[in-house]
This record gives sequence, C-alpha cells and structure tokens, in this order.
Amino acid sequence: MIEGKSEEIQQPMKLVGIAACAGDVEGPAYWVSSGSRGGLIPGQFLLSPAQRATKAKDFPRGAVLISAMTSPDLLPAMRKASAIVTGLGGRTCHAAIVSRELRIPCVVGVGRGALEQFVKDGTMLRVKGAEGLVEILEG
Amino acid sequence: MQLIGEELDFETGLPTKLKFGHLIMPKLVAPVPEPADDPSHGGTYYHCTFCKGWHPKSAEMPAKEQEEADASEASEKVTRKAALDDKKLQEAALRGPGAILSIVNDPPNYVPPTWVKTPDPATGIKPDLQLTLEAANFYIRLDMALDPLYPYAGEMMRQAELQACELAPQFARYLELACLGEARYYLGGHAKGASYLSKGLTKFLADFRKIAKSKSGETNDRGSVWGHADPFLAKYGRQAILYLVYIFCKGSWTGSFGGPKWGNCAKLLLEYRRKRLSDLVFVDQAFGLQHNGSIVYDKMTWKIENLLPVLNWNQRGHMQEVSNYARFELMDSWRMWQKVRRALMIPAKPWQPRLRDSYGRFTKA
Repeated sequence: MIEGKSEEIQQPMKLVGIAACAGDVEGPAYWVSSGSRGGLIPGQFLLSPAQRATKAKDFPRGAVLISAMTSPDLLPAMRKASAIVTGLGGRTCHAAIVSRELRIPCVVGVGRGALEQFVKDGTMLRVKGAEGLVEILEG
Repeated sequence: MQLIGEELDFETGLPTKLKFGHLIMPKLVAPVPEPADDPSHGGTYYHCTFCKGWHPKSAEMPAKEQEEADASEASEKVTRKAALDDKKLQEAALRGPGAILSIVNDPPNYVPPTWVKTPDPATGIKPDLQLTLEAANFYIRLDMALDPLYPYAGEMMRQAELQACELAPQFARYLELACLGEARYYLGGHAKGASYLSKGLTKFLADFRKIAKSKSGETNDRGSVWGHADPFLAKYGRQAILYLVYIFCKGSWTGSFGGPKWGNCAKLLLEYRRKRLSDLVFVDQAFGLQHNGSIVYDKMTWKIENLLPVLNWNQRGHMQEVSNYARFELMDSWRMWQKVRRALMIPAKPWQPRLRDSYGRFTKA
C-alpha cells in the first residue's frame, strides 16, 4: 500500500450528445439562444428577436456556438464558430446539416437543461465531434 | 318494468298511465343471418354502412365504400407484411449480423416531387407542391443516408441531393416573388424609411413603385408586382435582393409587415444566389423559414398542412413521427431499417420457455 495522499486525477465533466460532424476543437462557449421564441440566456435575460440578432451578429470568431436549436438567422454566426453544440436535435437538424457543409465539429442533442446548468458564456469547452462528446474544461 | 304506484294492465302487465314520458320497451329482434354464411348465396357479401344491409360484392360498390374497403385491405396488407418482416428478422437474428443485414429492403426508387408538370405561367412556380410530404421525404432520406450502418446510405444521399436539386430553384423563385410582394408595403407607409438611402436604392424604389401600382393606379398590388417581377429582377439582378435585405432589416416596420423575419428570407436567398450555399443546405434552411405570422410558403397553393410539426419533430430528432408523413415506400423502408438496426445492436437470444415456481410466478433462468 502506498502511503500518503493519493493524487486524484480530475476528469473534465462530459456531456454526451449525438455526433453530427467530426473534429476536435477547444474554445470558449458563447450562448446565442436557448429558446425558440426570442431566447433566454441562462441566468441573464430574456432576449427579444432584435437582441438575439445583435448577439448573433456580435458572435466572436472562433468561439463555440451554444444554442438550444439553430434557425436560418443564425447562419452568419455559424460561419464564424469553431464548433457548434445544441441542446436539442438529431442527425438531420439544421445545425447538423450546416456543420457538415461548413466542416465544423458539431454535437447535437446534448440536453438543453444540462447545457443551461453547466455552460455559461466564456466556459472553456472541448468538443469531440466524432464521439459526440462535450468536455467542460473550466469555467 | 314497473313504475312505483302505477296501476298495471291485467292482460299485458304494462302500466296503464305513464307519467314520465314514453316507456321504451326493449325490442326483441331476431339476429339477421349474414348472407355470406348462407350456403344458398354463392358469392361473398359486404356490409353497407349506409343502408346497414348486405350486398353481393359483384354489385357496384359506392365510391366511399370502395375507398374504405381498399384502405382496410391496404392496412391488412401492411400488418401482414410487418408480421412477416418480424418473423424473418427473428430467424435472421439467430444466424448473426450478416444474415440480419441481408434482409434489409432495397432502397425505394426515387420519385420526383409531386407537382403538375406545367408551371404557372404568371409566376413560373409549379403550383401543386406538397411541401409537408416533401419535407418528410427529404429528412427521412437524409436520416438513412447519415446512418453509418445503413448499407444503401450512398443511394439515399444521392436521392436527397436529387430532391434538393429539384426543390431549390422552386424555393428560390418563390422567395424572390414573396419578398418582392412583401416589400410593396414599404411603399404603402407600413415602414419608416431607412436612415440612409443610396442613389441606387432610391432609383430601385422609384422603379419598384411603378411596377407595384395596380391597374387602377391607386393601391400597391401583389399581383401586379408578381406580373412585372421578371423584367424588374432581370434589370437589377442580385442587387435587387440586396436592396430587399436592406429595406427589410434597416427600415422600421410597423405591425406584422416586413421586418427582420423577411430580412432572413431575403438574406438566405442572397446567399443561395451568390452560390455560397449548396442546394441541400439551402433547401434545409428554406423549409424552416417563417414570416411574421406563419410559414413563409402560404402565399401560393402549396400544401403546408402539418409542415410545422414535421419540421419541429425533425429539429428534435423524433424521426418516427416524421416518417408518418413520408411516402409509403420510404416510411416502410425506414421502419424496417430501424428494426434491423435494433436487432444488430442487441444480440438475439434463442427463445426459451420461462419457468414458473410453485406459486406460478416466473423464476429467473
């Protein structure tokens, strides 16, 4: 038996979803919307469609786009994103189809509640597109 | 039956006076023998739901009866086929994954979108498109194409792309006309002008004002806009769509006219016209477009009943529900594949009788 404190290796928290497009990417999370109407950013405020459009317009290049679902108006933001993670959706949802076209790693159907609970704006994430995993690194 | 305090008729045993309305006695009716059971009738009979009688099948059935009979026959056929498929699957599951895969149905042949062949001469749009069916077919094909285990994934992707190639020009044409039609409200005072109007945009609006006037010259008319759309769009080209984006997004619209939702439609159209989107992605995005009230495709005679639920189910990954709206062959093929997929994932065990204990409860093997 080894004496002393055993070093616990902290595994990053993992959210499991459906693999939509392969690729591994690390980046800060950026919420665009979590509701179908307007959108509620967790812990922040209810967005009007205009505010949501502004938030999508100001999307920082290279961030991980987080949304409950995506819609056609988020297409410009999706072009700037390094990866896409959605709470709802399957293999044939908008986010999955666009990500395959743009070749951006994408995980869909992670669970809206889990995303809202653990992921905030700026949370560092590692998205593993091929395995359908989202690892929460810090934040 | 005897009512309390009533006098009864000596002969019949029934009350002489009825205080509470009519007393309805149960009528004894001898069972009507079905003619089919009667050996004297040679042919088979069907029960008519209208006259409640039996008619020989050789007699001409009413159209509605015929439809019902056909529907019940078709559903019986489906049930029988499903049972046969299940049996085949159970047998194959015992032989291993290779045998399971061998019973996957061939992919159904591609059937082009259901529309009449001649487009509407005024608009160039084919008017008979069943959009709900097309959306369900499109997403079911994609779902099968993207399944890594499905043996005919390549064929399904080819079919989805073919469908997208046929739908994309129709959607693009529709969006052009619909956006132009909506932009006429800008002239009608439903929007305050954009803060900055370039020379080009001012000229565009002046020309647009001319084509938007109805024959009487008093109001702005959608029919008039659509009628003059072709030469107008030919004159301005893609720049016209850019101006539309500017008008919808920068103008401050009132009520349920114009605004950012129409701006999204125009933006998507512009992306497609600039060839920045493939047909597949454009069709996928275009299905989901909405204006201020509902789905954007309600300006023509396209059939869009239940389109919204189908799109929502697809967005949430509930493909079982989506398959209900797809073409029959496609739905059948998809469901069969789901069964096969389940059989591939869960290793089959040969059936064994379950043992019971002395109390009649099932025991663990």
